[in-house]
Order: sequence, then C-alpha cells, then structure tokens
Amino acid sequence: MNFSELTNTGIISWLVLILFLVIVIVLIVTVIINDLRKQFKPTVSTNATNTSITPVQLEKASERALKELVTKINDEVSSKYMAHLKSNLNKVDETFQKNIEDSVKEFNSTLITFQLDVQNKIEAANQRMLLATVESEKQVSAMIKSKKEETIGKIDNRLSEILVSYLNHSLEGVIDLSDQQDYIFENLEKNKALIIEDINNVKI
Amino acid sequence: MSKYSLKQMPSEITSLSQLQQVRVWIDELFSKQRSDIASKKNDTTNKLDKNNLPECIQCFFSSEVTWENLSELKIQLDKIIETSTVTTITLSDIPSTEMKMKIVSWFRSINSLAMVEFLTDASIVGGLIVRTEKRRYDLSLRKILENVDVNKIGILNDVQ
Repeated sequence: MNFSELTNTGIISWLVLILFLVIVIVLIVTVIINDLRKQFKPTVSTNATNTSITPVQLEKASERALKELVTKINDEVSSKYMAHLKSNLNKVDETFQKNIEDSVKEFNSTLITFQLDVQNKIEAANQRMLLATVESEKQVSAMIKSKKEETIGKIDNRLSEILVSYLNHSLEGVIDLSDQQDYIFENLEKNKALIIEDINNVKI
Repeated sequence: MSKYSLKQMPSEITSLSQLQQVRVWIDELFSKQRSDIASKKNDTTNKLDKNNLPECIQCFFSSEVTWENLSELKIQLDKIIETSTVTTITLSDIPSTEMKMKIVSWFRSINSLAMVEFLTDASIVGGLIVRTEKRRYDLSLRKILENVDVNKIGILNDVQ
C-alpha cells in the first residue's frame, strides 16, 4: 500500500466517524425532543392541534427542559449533599451533645460532691458552734447564777447591817432613853442571874 | 467610937473614876492637915467641918467626919479600887442623872459597892450593852436587827 492509499483510507475513516457522530447527535436530539414532547404534551399537543411547532419554540422548550433538568440534577445533588451534610452535622451534634452531657454530668457530679463537702463542713461548723454556744450558755448561766448567789449572799449578809444603818440614821435621836427604860430593865432582869455571878466578886 | 465601915456606896458615886477622884480629894485633905500641923495654923482637932468638905466626900458620911473615919474610908476605897469589878453600860444616848441613878441602883441592889461606867454609842440604836469582866450582854436593838432572818421577812423573794 502506498502513501496515497493510506491518505485516502484515513480521510474516509474520519468522514465515517464524523458521519457516525452526526447521526448519534441527531438521534440524541430526536430522543430529547420526543421526551420533551412527551413531557409537555398538553401544551405541545394544543399547539400541535392548532399550530405547528416552530424551531424557535422548540429551542425555547429545549432550553427550558435543559434548565429543568439542570435544576433537577442540582436539586438531587444538593439534597444528597445536604443529607450527607445533615448526617455529618447530626453526628457532630450528637458527639458535641454527648460531650456536653458528659461534661455536665461530670460538672454536676463535682458540684454535688463539692456541695456535699461544703454542706458537711457547714453542718460540722454549725455543730461545733452549737456545742460552743451551749457550752458558753452553760458557762454564762453558771457565772450569772454564781454571781447572783454571791450578790444575794452579800445582800443577805449585809442586809442586817444596812437595816441597822438605815434604822440608826432614821431613829437617831427619835427613841428617847426614857422610852427605853422599861425595855432596859426588863432585859437586865432577864440576865440578872448571870450579872450577879459577874459582879459579886467585889468584897471589902 | 465605932470604926467607920462603908456598907453602901453613895448613889452619887457611880463610877470608878469618881471613886479615884474622891481618893485624890482625901489625899489632898490629909496633905493639908499635915501642912497645917507643921505650920500650927489651925486647931488640930480630930473633927472636920463636913460643910467644908467636897460633896463627893460628904456623901460618904451621914454623921460627923473625923480624921480616923476619913483614914478608914481611904483604906476601904483603896481596896474597892483595887478589887472592884467595873460594869460598863453602853446606851444609845447620854443618860440623864435620874436614869443613871436608876441603873446604878439596880446594880447596887445586887452588890452594894457595884461600880458602873456609862458609855454612849448611837449605833446600837436602842437598848443597852452590859460588859462585865466575865461577859458581854448585847441587849441592843442593833443586835436584835442583826439576828433578823431576812429570808423570813421576804425582802429577797423577788430577787430569788
């Protein structure tokens, strides 16, 4: 085979390939158009019944169909992505929530322990304070009682002196000796026997 | 002439101090007598003029006073001063002469030569305190008040 034969064979192959591609494209376009026709049958059929479909209308319809297809694909992709994202977010949320719950539980546990500790300490302090207060009250009561008894004792012991002092000042010069005469001799008579013993030693 | 004997202490003489005063007066009389004899100023008779004697000496004699009687009185007074037991009476106020005499008479009814000293202490309020050499008799109103049980009076009921 010579060079010219080779060149012709290549060109023919290319032409066949191009033709095949054109046929494929035409078939695809036909399929799409048919599909679109099926989808927009009422409109198209109305139009078909009344008027024939113009290329401009077909182009617009195709454009619209493409947009819808793109939108649909976009929606599907978005929904899948969002579902995936949502799933991941849920997982993150669950993990985060679990961590928070664990932290909260730990915090609550620590808080309860701390509260119990503080409460125990407060109760112990209150108990000590109560005991100290009771002890202090006892001491103060004992001290007051002792002081009271001491004071009453002093008053008791001193009251006679106070009364005498008061009466002495009150009665000074009031009771005349002549008024006491009967009392004086009455008492001398009561003690006469002893006085006789005492003063009968005088002998000449 | 009978020998002078002091049977009853004169009521005017109540205390030992008065008795000592009498004793001093008697000494003075004897001293004067000795000086008179020495100077031969007066008639040295045995009798003395009672009216010229101090009242505290006069009260010892109911009749005439002789130097012998006075000498005997001196001896007896010395014995009384030496041996007598003095009773001290404490009163709340200065006693009148009448009161003093009554109290002294009461003691003289027990012992005719009893000597009584009077003291005054207003703090006893009333009554008397008798003190002999052996005992002390607190018959004062103060003592009665001191023995009052204040609890029975009820003064401290509100406090207790």
